[in-house]
Amino acid sequence: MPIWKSQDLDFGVDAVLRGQGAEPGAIRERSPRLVDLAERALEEGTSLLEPTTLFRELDVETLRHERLILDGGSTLSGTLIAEHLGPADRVISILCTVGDALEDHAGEVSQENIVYGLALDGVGSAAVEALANAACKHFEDQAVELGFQSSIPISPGMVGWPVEKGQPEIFEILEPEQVNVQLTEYGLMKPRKSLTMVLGLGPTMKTGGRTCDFCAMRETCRYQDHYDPHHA
Amino acid sequence: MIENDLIAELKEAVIQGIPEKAVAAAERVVELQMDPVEAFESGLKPGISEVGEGFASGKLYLPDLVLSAETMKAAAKVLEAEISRTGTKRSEVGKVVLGTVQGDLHDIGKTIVATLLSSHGFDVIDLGVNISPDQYIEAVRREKPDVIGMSSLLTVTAKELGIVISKLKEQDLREDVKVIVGGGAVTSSYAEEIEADGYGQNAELGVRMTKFLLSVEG
Repeated sequence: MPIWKSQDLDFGVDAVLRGQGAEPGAIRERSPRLVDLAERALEEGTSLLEPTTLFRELDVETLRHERLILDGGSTLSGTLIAEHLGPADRVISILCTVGDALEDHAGEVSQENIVYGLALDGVGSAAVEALANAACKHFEDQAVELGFQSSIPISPGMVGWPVEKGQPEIFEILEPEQVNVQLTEYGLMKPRKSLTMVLGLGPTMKTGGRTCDFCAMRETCRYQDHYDPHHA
Repeated sequence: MIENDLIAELKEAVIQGIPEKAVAAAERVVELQMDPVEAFESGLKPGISEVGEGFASGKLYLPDLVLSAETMKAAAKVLEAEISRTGTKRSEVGKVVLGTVQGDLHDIGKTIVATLLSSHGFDVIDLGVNISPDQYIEAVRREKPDVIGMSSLLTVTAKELGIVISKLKEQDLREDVKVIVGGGAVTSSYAEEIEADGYGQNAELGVRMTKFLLSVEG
């Protein structure tokens, strides 16, 4: 299975603050201590990151009753898959992880210093998000070179593609054990700072849209504006 | 006058999240033989309440809340040592058993709730993550808490919350303990559906719900 080795991850202290659920501008204004901690966590946490992206590109054979059947017989199924990947000629399944060294360290630190532990956890969240963004851009650029459009990235847990259905489907395609990522019986990935998604590629894909609109936590999440600056 | 200044300083240190300042003020309280309970009740508690309000209204963020809670804990340690030395008493607010449900390994949100509850004076038993229904039942029998708080970040593990409540009923323990649920995957309607006593959309609201259910003031 191909592994895409990304370059250095492009994120800074503001992303670490956002990774903790905070708005960087407001924090910088009122709490230099939290900014210092985020800087320290970024410096220490970066050395513990093990960014890896595993991917597999497969042709679409057919779409049948909300089931996308891929070359070799693997399937992706659900309303969200049918809606966004239905017109695709190819699908890229992607898993991004930053490994478990940072989250293990953050867990240990949190027992004694929850403020710094939260900052280290923020580094992990920011890192896996930066890795996923970089991977998306890489594959979208490739698609453009081939004359394709790409769908929005679809992840298990979005409305219309439940975690318990989507994660096993992606894991069957990718076999992520080779990069030491495991799936628990509840659909949780270990290491937790991992992310899976699929991108559909085709000549006329449904493009645009806001990922938060399809998130299962959209009713309760207070951080949507961090992911979409246009969100009111 | 000095007493009022020190109490205001304690409150301000918690709001700003400056542990050294809070500890220094608490040590001065002890040095001046002021009432440590009064310093706690009129200085630290209003400080953390104001921060909690800010978080609940969206003006403050999680790191603000956690830093203030840690600041309060640092100063409270100094005051509590004095309370214990002088034999004065702080009103006991209650005992809470906390855990993240079976199948869910998310720790930080639950740990933040534990930190906040401790800073509000609750006796907190943190069971950890991936806690099975039997482990909750065992903890209720062993610890005899006033409240159990259960968290589920994953939608797929949210059903475990209902399983624990059913087990409590089966074991005739449901009437002995209040149940509060929360975490990213939980909504108030789901909490109602599984017959939890309360729902906390976030850490601060979880603490408020705990206080409400136990009729704790402040």
